[in-house]
Amino acid sequence: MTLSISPPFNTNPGDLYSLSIYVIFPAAIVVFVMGFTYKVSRLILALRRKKWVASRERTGIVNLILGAINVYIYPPLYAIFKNRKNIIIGLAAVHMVGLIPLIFLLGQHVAFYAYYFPPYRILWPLSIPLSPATGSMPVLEELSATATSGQQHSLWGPLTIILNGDVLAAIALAAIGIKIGEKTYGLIRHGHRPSDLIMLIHLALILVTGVLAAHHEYFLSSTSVVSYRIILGAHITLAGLFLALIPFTKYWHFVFGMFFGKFVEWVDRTWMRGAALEGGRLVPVRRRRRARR
Amino acid sequence: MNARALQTGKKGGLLESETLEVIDEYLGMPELHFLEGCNDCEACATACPFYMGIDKNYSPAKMADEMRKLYKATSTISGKILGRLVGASLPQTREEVMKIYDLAYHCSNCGWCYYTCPHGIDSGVLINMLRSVLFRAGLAPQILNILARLESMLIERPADHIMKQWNEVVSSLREKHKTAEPGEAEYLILLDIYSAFVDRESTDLYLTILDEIGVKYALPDRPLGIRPPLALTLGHYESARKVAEFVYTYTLSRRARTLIVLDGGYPYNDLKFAFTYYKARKPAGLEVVHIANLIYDYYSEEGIPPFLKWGRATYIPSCNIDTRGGVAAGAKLVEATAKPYDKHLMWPYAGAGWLSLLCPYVREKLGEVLGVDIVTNVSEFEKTIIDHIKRVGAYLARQAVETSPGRHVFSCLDDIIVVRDSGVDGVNPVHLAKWLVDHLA
Repeated sequence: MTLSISPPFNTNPGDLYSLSIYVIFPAAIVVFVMGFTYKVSRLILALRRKKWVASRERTGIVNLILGAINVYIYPPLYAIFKNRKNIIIGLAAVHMVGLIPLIFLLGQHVAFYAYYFPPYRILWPLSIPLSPATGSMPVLEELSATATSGQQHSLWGPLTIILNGDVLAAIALAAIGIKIGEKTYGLIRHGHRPSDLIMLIHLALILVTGVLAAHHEYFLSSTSVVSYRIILGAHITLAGLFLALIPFTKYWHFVFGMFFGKFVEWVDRTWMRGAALEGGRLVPVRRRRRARR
Repeated sequence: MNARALQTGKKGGLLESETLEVIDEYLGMPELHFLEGCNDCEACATACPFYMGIDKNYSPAKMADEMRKLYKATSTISGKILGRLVGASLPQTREEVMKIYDLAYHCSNCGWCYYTCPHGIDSGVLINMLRSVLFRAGLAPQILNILARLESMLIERPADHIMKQWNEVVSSLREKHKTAEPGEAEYLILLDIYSAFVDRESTDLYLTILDEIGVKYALPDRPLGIRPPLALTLGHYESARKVAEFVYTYTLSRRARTLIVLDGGYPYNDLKFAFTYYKARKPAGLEVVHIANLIYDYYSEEGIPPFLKWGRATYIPSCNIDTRGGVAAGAKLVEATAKPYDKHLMWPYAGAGWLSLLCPYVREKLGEVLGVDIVTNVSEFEKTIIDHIKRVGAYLARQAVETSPGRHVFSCLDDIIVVRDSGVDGVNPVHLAKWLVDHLA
């Protein structure tokens, strides 16, 4: 099916694509940095108010290390046993398979980030191509898999048959679709907060515009550069909005919130309370002999 | 109601001034993260006994969300501008407040949601803040409120009829055990109304073990509360602070440097760690230890005699000891003394926590000693909670039976009560104190 978009204006520097690249995205970076500073400053200021739990007996270094590992691995481990749907859809499909490789490793994205931040090009060898067609090259034609336009070789080789933008976007979209269904039900039935639903719809829109832009030859008028610039501009604008919203929304979790939260938990549970695994201490505390008569 | 509440109450909604008070007084860095870091992934849900045992509406994230709504509506710019769009709202009607009240008291504060949260959010802390907001607005379960007030009065001056019963119990314990006089021992037992009357058997058994391993301890000559600090169950921080500080001061006044907690419920965590949350001042030289740690440390040095291993069992972690308290000693002691020991990798839950004070057995015993009617005088709300605790107990009991066909060892009487009262076949609860005396002494 061809989606025909009538160009509202010509390809000039004022179009959405140019606007997104040269105005919106840099502005989003500024908002992100300011928001990040604001959020972290608030936490530091709140630290002055009080209050960790009081320290207990000394905890061994082994316990501290195991406790640090435990705070990170326990939740997913627990979810594997007790909450499989959440781990498959939420962690695996949305995050590990879908969004994280797409955002950080898709060849086009690597090129984009390297434009703003040149050292990012170090990730080129790990970049993934847009479609499965690239993955078939090393298998069928003894050519190297490339991430973009045959210029950059991907270390993933034949694996790019599945590890590519199309497949990952399909998985991420399916998982986000399920999540949107769940959140819509929660909103209607239980009055849960709508912001989560809005965030998910936003993510889905980024993915959809990305897919449309990547495959404009199928979805858009193939000869229309203007419509391609609009849809790609929309994709970058939405992504810029994503970046700007990170400090103020649930997107915060994967940039700072999760790592900070787990650090706080480690300090609280392991450092202060001395607990390591399942609320317990691995290394017994040697109590004083004076406890006994 | 203060001036600020009157002023803001007109424009915003109910609970506004109370929320601002709690936020102003008790918001620290961890709480700020708890309030703003939730991703609503619901990873915590399956760890919650109320979610699993009663209704899918009682997930920790959703219960804590009620506090987030109040916080965002009163204390954030985005909440004030965007309102419900970002999950900020104040209740507008009494019905909405009662819904919050219902959610706030479907939490045993066991702490498992904290451990299973991928973002390190302790929903229990927020739910307790929510209770504090409700308490300031005059909403608290009647029985817990009565008990908290009585505890506050008890530490001021115990009534004669209570002291009479107390002296009898303490005299009989002193006759039976090798106790030192107050002022002559480094260790003081945290003996309160709960330990002395409701859970007397376990107290007796623990003291037997202390005699056996040679710890020199004293018993207090007056009750150190009902189950201190009981007011924390209501989010009544001021009263909890007063009670905790009394316990610390009393301990030091008897020249003891260490307080031994026998109770498997919340007092250990609240007196050892959580006192900073309600801003009680604990003297630097005072240590609080749990009896299970003390026993375990003794045997980890001395070694547990292998011939005493007997009987199939599993240990069921208790909320405020094993999770929040960080005490693994109970599990280790049972593991060392059971054969075979049925280990569980992912135990989801502890007991009824604070809410077990509403169980009929506990109310009956406390009512007898304190001379108040907390058996017949039960509100509809409390009846619902009591019914729900029973259903949570059934869930816990089924989990226990699935884990082990042997004995199910608990370190908290509350757990035993809720499991026993659930009526589930095959559950075989025993208190840690009883288990240890049978297998170690």
